[in-house]
Amino acid sequence: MTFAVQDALSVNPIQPGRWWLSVPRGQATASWIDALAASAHDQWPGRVAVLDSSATLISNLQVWENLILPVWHRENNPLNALEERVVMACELAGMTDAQREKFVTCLPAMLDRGGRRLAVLLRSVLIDPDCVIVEDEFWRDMTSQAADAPQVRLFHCLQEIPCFVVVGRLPKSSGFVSVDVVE
Amino acid sequence: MLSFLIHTGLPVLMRQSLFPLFFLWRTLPALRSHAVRRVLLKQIYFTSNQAAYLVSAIGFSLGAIVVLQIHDQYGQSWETALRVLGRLGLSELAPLFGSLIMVARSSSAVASELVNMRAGGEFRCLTHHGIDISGYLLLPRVLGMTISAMVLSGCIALFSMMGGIIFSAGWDAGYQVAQIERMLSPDLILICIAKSGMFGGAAALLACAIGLLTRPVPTEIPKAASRAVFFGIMLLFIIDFVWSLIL
Repeated sequence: MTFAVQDALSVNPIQPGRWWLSVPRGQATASWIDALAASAHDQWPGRVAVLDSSATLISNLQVWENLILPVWHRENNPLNALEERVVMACELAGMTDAQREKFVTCLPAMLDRGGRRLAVLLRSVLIDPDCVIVEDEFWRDMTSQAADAPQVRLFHCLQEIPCFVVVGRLPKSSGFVSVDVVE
Repeated sequence: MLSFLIHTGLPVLMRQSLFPLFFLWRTLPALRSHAVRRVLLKQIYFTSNQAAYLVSAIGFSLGAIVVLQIHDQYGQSWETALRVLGRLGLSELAPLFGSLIMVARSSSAVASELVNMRAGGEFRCLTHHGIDISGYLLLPRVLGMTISAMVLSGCIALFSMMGGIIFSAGWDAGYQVAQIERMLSPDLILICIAKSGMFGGAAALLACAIGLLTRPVPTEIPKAASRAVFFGIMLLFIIDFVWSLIL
């Protein structure tokens, strides 16, 4: 997307609110997520969380390094201060100390899809974002799971963020303002 | 090489993919970040520290071979042989061998890692988090390989002198060590550092360029690794040849 994302949409979703962007057929959801993320970073530098269905982690970093990377890069804090925040985020997900130790010291290749999504959600919570961009498939999976699942607990926390944008082809859920692509 | 360049559609890709490399120097302030410095230190550790034993052994053998050949085959005195070794080692052998070993070990790793990261959507993931690809991924790799080439060349130069001295002087090695300023001069040391730094930087830029240009699919990863080594070695000899012509 080389154009300003706001010009191509009926409403600018990069502002406080709960937005549902319906991507037309023939256009890639990933491209819209990239464009929205870039636009959101212009407004809230380093305070944007993206939850796409692939739940990508950096493969040559351990999970704990993946969790702290965005916030470490943004704030340049000492590692021990970030460690405390990782512990708090894991407690929020309901993980025990042993579960946390096992989880954060493994490499992303050792995680299944659920584990990767948990890591991505923990990373997003640690960012302390002003804007959350979610792919519709991720949204559907999180809203269809039991409320006490660790991923769902973290996802509920992220839904409190003022700017929450869901992007994809699924029909709009209630509680969201529809955003359409202007032809 | 031409078919590779045409196959990859270089003109378009250069604009799109190589853009981060063209302005790499602008990302130097990224080194203020702990996260970037950690990547740089990891690169230096994997590229130079893990290869230090290997290059030390190669340097020691090389020094011994050069001194023995000059003395036995050409009938020169041990002292002349050591002087030749000092000049040849610092100006040619150490930068070339150090950089060759670095290319063989690390260029393939850098190129394949970058292609793998692109194939896995990791570049996109970093961009989503506002992390600049040039500053976080490319700058530490280029700087790390440049520094490593200088360190490895220094190791080869040092150990080749040790090998030469031990094989020429035997038990009187202490005397030759005391006379080392006759074999080495500051300008030779500067040439060694400058040459190896240039070799390392060029090989690193090439490895990154191949990592950025190669199609991000798993079947292309081994090809990227082999291209990085092949073209990297070729580049070293071209630069050395041009250096010899100019200086």
